[in-house]
Amino acid sequence: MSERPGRRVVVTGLGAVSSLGIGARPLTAAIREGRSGISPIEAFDASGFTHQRAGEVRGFRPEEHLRRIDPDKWGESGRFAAAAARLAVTDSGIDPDELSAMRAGSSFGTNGESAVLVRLSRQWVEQGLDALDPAQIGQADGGRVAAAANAELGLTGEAQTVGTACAASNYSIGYGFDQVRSGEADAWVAGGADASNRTIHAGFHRLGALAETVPRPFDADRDGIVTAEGGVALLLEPLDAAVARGARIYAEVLGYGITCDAKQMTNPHAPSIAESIRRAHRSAGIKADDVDYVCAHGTGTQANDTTEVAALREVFGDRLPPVSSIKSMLGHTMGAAAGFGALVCCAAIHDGFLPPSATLRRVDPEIGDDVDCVPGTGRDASPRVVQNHGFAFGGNNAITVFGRVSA
Amino acid sequence: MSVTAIDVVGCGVVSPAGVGLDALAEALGRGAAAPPAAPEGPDAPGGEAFPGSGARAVTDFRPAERLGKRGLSRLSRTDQLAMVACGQALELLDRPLTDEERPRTGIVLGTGAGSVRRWAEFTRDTFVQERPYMVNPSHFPGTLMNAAAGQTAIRFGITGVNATLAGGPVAGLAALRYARNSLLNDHADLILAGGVEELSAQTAWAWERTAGLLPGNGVGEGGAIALLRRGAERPLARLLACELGFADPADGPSGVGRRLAEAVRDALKAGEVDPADVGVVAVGGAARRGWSAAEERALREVFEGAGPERLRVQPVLGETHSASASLQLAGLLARWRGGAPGERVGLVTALGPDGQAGCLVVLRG
Amino acid sequence: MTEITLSAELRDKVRAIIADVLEVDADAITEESSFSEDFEADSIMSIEIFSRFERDLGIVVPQDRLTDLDDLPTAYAIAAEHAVQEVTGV
Repeated sequence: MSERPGRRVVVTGLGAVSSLGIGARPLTAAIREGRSGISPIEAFDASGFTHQRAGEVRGFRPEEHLRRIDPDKWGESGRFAAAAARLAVTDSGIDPDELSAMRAGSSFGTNGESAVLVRLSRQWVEQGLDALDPAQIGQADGGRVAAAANAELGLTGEAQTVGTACAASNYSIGYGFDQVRSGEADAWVAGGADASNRTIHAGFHRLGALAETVPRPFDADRDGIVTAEGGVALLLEPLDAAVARGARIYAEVLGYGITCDAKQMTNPHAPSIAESIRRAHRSAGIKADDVDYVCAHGTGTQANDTTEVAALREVFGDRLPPVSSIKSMLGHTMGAAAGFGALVCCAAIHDGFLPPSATLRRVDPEIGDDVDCVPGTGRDASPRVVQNHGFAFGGNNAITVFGRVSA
Repeated sequence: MSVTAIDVVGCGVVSPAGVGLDALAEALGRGAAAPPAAPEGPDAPGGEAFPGSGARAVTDFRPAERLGKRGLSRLSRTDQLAMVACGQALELLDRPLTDEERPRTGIVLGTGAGSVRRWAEFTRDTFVQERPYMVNPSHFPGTLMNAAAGQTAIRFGITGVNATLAGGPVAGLAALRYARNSLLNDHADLILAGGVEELSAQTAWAWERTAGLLPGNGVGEGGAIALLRRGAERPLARLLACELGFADPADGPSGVGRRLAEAVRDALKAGEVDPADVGVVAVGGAARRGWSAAEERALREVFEGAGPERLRVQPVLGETHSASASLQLAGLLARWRGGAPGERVGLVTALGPDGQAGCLVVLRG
Repeated sequence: MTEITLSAELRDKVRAIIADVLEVDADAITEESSFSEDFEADSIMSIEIFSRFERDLGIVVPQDRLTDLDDLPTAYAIAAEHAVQEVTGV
């Protein structure tokens, strides 16, 4: 395939609003310690559900983080995206006024303003369609998620909201990577956001996909996911610009790969996942042997974890790098999930560790006991090249690859 | 040829004007349709009463005939519209896709919030059933915004890049820009790109409650899918540039309008088109209260006066929200099928209440 | 396999639900039919069948029994097992 010449793209800012803390530092510290962000649901009335736990954000006061937008005018997902974007920009040390004057945009992955849509649905059920609240209607469109980030940062470039469910954040990072690499943009904020809500919870509940207590990715006794929420953002800029301003560089975005199963809406498909990994490797200009760590989609369902490792074996053969799932701690943050994976990958490269599968007790024999799932707590290590997985209902697979930038 | 141009080699369209570009051309030729009316019978999706201000449904849609009866109830109307429009576009290829081409073929769809009715009905069950999880599991995938792209991929066995972009009235341009990026960066060779919006009582009431439409306009529905590739031999049209921008919606329509003016200028520059060569602008805000005026001000500013003719698809198709920009492009292509002989270049413009604005520059094939 | 059997009435209801979900005539489903091979059923349809048991018949099938359902005898057995449990509160 033809290589389009372009600029090298690096990650210089990380922002997170998560069940394990607000800001990238608290989050990565918690991840290294293997802490859990799962707690009883408070975002909606969970009575009547037999599973009542989620990875919800606690103690988030949007007004403490948002400088430009009025949080009351935006839905939950947009607020998460905007706050994460603001945190990423602050973390990067870039001058926010200079950033807003640059050719800069954002892309965010999400299921949309789900909590707003639940409120509107409830108004329909309880009061009728002629009683829908105009203010809530104005906050309902999915496109408002990236829009919130752009508005918060004063960006005048495009605001792309990717609605590709649980793979969406890897799409948003891939798109931002292309924009900066090709020179269409000089800086980019890429990430994802989703808010805890009863509709998504009910859907996974009905599918029998919810874990009794905590998600146990790759474990023999795993029994499903735990729904979760949060916002995450990465600031992308050209390597040269980052070096010129003396920025801290977490990692380089090396490339990405996307495929679609086109088989069935809810079951993962190993050959298609394997192809997305191969595409990501080609895009990144690396070989499978170069990969030091895989940040798995690792939801903790029977089907996902077995299929994901089967796909890895198809590409890596018997030499699997360490594979772990941060969903063991965060739960499944839906449209933000791959973004959190990307953030942790960048931190792992920069700080020198492997994130754990914190809840793992015994690796599923079907997955294979030769797989190093980094059980328990984070491990000191020096990964140079890592890959980050994101899969979704709809058969969507998206893989991003990050690498260390030598000093 | 600019290295960033993308070619349109086909276009599938389903709208209140009917199915196909010819039906659209005919309807646009006739001009404004009869006043919107509350849809009834088989053309009234959902079973909830519509507001009295009326709407424009895709009449004569007959999804069972086009897609087969089996499994139809599991598909939302959004899924169905996308599948029909994409199927039409694929039929315009000179031959069926080969197994070698499928992995290099993609689907990129624009949306507002997915199938709002599917989301609302699914959520209703969490409130009214005995237990909140007693929802229909087969309807769960359809609540997600990426359902239509995924279902369409399954239907036609298309395994390449598959993306869904949410952007309200700008979504069609967001999808084209995403698709263009995928083609230019070699992630795909052929992409079905466009937007789909379904009509429902839920969305019709949302427009009613926000008083979002100018008098005489109704809510519409439909979808248009452009088949895109790099360097085609005899394209229907060439997309010379697609520029998107953003302004904080807190500043109101005038701020977003000013950003649109910049996007139009940037797009003309990127497409190396002199404003005087633009023959027609397919406008996005024509039915929207507050936004029509902002869009017109932007165009007058760029063209230093009235400028080229405006193509308004909204009086014929209704306000189709996230399908609008794609239907505007389809409107241009329909118009150029035999008509408007002097026109070489057309624009598609869009702007919306979330702060996004965009402009597509289209060279007639 | 449980020894508990379903009433003829409940068997008909179970078969009707399955036919409805699979979009085939109830008569087309025999004791020998494979839902997946004969009627293109997938895992989500199995879950839809179980959820209809719960919504329409009050038969609650626990999450760990939500395996792929492929034939009528298994459907009867699972329905019978959990219908009784429902009544006796076991």
